[in-house]
Amino acid sequence: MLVKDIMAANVPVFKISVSVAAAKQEMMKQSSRYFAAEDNDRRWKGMVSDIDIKKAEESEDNFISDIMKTDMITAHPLDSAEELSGVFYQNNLEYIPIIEEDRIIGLVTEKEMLHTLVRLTGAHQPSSKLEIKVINKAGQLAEVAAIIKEHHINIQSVLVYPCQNDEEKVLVFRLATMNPLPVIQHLNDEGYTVLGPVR
Amino acid sequence: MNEPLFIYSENLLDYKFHDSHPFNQLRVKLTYDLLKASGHLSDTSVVKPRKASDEEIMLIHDKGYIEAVKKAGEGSLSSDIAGNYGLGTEDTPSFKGMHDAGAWIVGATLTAADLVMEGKTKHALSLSGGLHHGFRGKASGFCIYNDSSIVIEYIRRKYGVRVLYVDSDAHHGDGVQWAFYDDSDVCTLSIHETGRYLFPGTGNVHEKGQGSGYGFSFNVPVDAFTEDESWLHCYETSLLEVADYFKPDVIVTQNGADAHCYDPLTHLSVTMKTYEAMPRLAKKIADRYCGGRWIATGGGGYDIWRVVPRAWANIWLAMNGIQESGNLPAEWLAKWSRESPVELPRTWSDSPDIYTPIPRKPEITAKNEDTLAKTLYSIRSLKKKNG
Ligand SMILES: [Zn+2]
Repeated sequence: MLVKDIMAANVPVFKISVSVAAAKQEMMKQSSRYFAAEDNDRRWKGMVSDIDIKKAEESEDNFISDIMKTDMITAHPLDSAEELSGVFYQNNLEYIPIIEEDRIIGLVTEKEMLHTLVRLTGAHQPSSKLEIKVINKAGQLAEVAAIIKEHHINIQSVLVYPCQNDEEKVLVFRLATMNPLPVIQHLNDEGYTVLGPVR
Repeated sequence: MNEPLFIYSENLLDYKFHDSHPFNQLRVKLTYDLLKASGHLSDTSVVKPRKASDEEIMLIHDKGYIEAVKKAGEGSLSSDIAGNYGLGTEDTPSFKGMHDAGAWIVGATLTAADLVMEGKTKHALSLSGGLHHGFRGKASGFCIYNDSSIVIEYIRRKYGVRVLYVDSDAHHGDGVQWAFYDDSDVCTLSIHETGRYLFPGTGNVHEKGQGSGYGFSFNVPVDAFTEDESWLHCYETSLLEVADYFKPDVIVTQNGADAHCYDPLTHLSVTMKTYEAMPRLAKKIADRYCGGRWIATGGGGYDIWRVVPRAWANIWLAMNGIQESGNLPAEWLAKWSRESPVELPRTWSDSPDIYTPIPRKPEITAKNEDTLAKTLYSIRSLKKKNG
């Protein structure tokens, strides 16, 4: 999945030469929390939030260019969405502007990022969840997937969780079936530990 | 005529994927037979269903999907296209005449609805219905057509009433919830095993509806191995408070019987005690708020021998104000013992020792209590505000 597939397009924009007073007026008409700042050639220069604008002084010589955040972490529309979640996590960000050839073409906020992660886990599609404890060595995922394939069941998503110890891992499958019993039986027969609810 | 009515004919049993599929409508016949043998179902209470028209099915489903189901039932749908519609899968394999089989079930539930809404009876029971997973354009979880959603949309349009849908199947009633997620005239309440492991994975407490439907979706996802006491407490408390908040004109209940500890597909630990109590409370609510208007359907239920017949018979008994106890009719036991692969229960009720004690019981009970409080938080705070 790419950043362009998950970003919110149509970011509202202020020219950097707009006064804070005018921005305050304009902001009332918008429901956005984040605004881009551009120069007269539509080149992206920075970002201002609704709170930045509200807090800023309305003096005659106070412009968007004076209050905008520059030197920000940005991303490209063709960056990987999965990696972007790591950027959010490491830098504690609220949002990331998406810039292509000096132009702002979108924004990814924590909200878009969370929606994306939910989609990546497959939690939005009807499915049964199977957790399988495997030895931490090459080929385990393929072997389990091959067993699932034998039952003609579509896999909605796969996650691989690390265990507390290094010897094991947990594979989490979301399967498009209401009846995972035949697969569970098969996995048990092959010696896998299928985790389930605890009594 | 104000006696409850039972919708039944043998062609409702044609909804059959194949011999080893867990969904088996023989359970409807087993229930019918049990009620007959116990002397609680007279021929005058039984109404034959009609078949739903394509237009009626299109109240919820896409035309393209209906065409695909028809083709799949004739064996003329390619497997690639079938897959896009959730057909020809392990869960909903294609079978001959599947459109007709589905349309009869929808028709049965619509028949029940018309009888209730036209005042021919107060309570009507359509046990072959209660398929709650099907989506607008996709089969899911053994369900081709979602008769639960269709009947709600049907009575809403035809009779202009507000509907409370109560789903006590062990699985989340996702198809119905999403169909009416932005609708404030349809309130959905689903109590089910948490989606931590179980299909379909949705139905958490924070799914509350959207747009004008916000605050009209309620979910009580209970922990695995929940027992009668906690399940019934969640069911009764949520139903009483949601009904009092929404004040429906009619109640539609989906009575899946797959929360029983014998059910192979789920991980709950309730017994017949739950299936005796739930329909009796539903009736009380229908009588209190809806002038008695109550349409009840079946739903899931995969121990078709030991669980479903007794559980579903209890809906009919509740409608008629009858309480059964003691032994099951000898005639029924004799007839079906020969067919059943498991030993049939001898009595209407379950003994409390049919499952081994659950060590986590206190933890499970406390967790469910916490969930219930979250589910009902908005109603309770509104009530407090209005004094
Ligand atoms: Zn179910």
